Amino acid sequence: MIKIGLIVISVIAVLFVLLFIVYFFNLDMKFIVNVVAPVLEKHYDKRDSNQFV
Amino acid sequence: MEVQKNSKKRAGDRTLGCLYNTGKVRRRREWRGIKDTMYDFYRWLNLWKIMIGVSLSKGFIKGLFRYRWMANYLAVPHMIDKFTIGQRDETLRITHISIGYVVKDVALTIKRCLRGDIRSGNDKKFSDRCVLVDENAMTSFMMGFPELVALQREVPTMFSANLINQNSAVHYIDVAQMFGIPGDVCPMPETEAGISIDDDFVVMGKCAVQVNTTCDGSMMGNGLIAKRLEKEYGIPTFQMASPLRHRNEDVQKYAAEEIKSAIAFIEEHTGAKWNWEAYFSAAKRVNQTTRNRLEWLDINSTPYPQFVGAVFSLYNDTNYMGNCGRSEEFPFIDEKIMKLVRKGYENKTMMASEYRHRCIVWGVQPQYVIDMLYWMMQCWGVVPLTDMLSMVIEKEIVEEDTPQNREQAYYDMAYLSENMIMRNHTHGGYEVLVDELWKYCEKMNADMVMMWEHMSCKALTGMHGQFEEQARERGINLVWVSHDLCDPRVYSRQAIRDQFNQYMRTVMREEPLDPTIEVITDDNAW
Repeated sequence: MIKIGLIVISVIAVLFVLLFIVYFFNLDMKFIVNVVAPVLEKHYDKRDSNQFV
Repeated sequence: MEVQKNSKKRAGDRTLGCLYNTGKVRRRREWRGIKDTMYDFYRWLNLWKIMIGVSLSKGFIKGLFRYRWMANYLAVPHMIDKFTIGQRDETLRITHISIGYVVKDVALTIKRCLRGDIRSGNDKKFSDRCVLVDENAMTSFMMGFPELVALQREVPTMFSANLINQNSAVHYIDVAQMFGIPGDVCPMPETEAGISIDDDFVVMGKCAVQVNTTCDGSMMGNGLIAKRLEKEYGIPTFQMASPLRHRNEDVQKYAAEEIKSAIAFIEEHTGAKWNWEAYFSAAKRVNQTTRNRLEWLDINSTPYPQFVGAVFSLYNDTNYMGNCGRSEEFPFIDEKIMKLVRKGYENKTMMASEYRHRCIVWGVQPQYVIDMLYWMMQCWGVVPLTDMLSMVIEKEIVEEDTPQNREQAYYDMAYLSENMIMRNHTHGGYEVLVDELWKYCEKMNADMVMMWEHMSCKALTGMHGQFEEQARERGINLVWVSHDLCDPRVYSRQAIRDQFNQYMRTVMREEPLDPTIEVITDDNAW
């Protein structure tokens, strides 16, 4: 029982540390603007749009 | 004004220049001491929970690949970082709670847009319950339609996308100009026109209501948008025209008639019936919002303002225009904010190491896109007490259901529309635009006014000389800061800040509180 408790606490602690690193060093935003956004922008630029006034 | 020193030392990062580099987002997040950093971390986790929730909703993936503006929403946390710069204690919590609900409200709008959109979720039954409402409309005429959904599709497409990414409008401005719309039109309606031309609005709704606010540019955009809505997508569009001289008694009957006509139009096209019980319940909530906002402004008139900045204005925008008493959730948020505002005032919480000037922010503001108001506090010790867009509804409307009040209710809905954000001070003549500013300065003990001069806004530029002359007579320090709203190619962020820096150094002869942010290399940032 104690062992399971320790494993759960360790997993939570590791998850907390990892998430905090992502948060503090702004890795979430760096990933979005440098990796995801350029791919999406290329996709939008390729798309034909029905431009009309 | 006597310099007001903060007796508490700021925990964590003392200077803020270390957060910026030439990249698109911040180098790292701010260290605010353990307690406040953990709170900010908790809000960040919560934000991602909301964003993941939205991304699992019907039509999201199709919408993400279909609509260019959708990509901006992946960077919402970056927007929050802009609005919480240098904040600690109660003010950090006030900002997080208020912007958190703005985010939630926009997330709900995106979910609804994609659910009903013919190209994404294509939920026809839901779409038939939706009325498209102009972004610049006070949604008061929807207060008595609880079974209908008022959707301001320009909000996620144009307005809030631009809060997240300063470049979000550029593509659409270029599209509009390719089709002959001149470059000196306000970029906000020009962007909306560009989105319509580019066919990048969601297509849904049983009918639509457009308003003649806020300006000539807005009317230009609405013309193009309505044409496409009606001719291509078969969505009938009502044009509601609010009177310009809205303080005059002789226009009120006409304004109330316009509201009646809008309601009749919605009833005719949706089959829904106006519900007075729902209306008066919403009216109670609108009044509560007004009372709370006036109390926040009263506290901002003291030496310890608490709820300020772009978020104060954004929260008012969402609460009045988009919500207009229809959401039962907002009164609880208001209460939470009120508790923190009172606590912050009792604890004499300050947002910078010293306050040197108390400032009212006037004119058409781009402060949503940049973190200017928070920057003014941190860099120069200038506290933005309030802004033009937050000085809206001042009186309470009738909230008891009686035959007499039912007639008065049309006048009240008209009053709400006439006095909405970006309208009550830009329309109505010099009394509301110029004279009222000095009243607010007196009431809020302001010694400085920052005048946003939007170079494409014709309504305000005509009064430039009047403002200068009258500020001089009153001994108010008047700082002109030019910008071009959501087109960062005309005035970059640093070009905007430089105007303020120059005034503070050359006219006020002051040195910055935090010299590391006098010049920030964030012109390429989102």
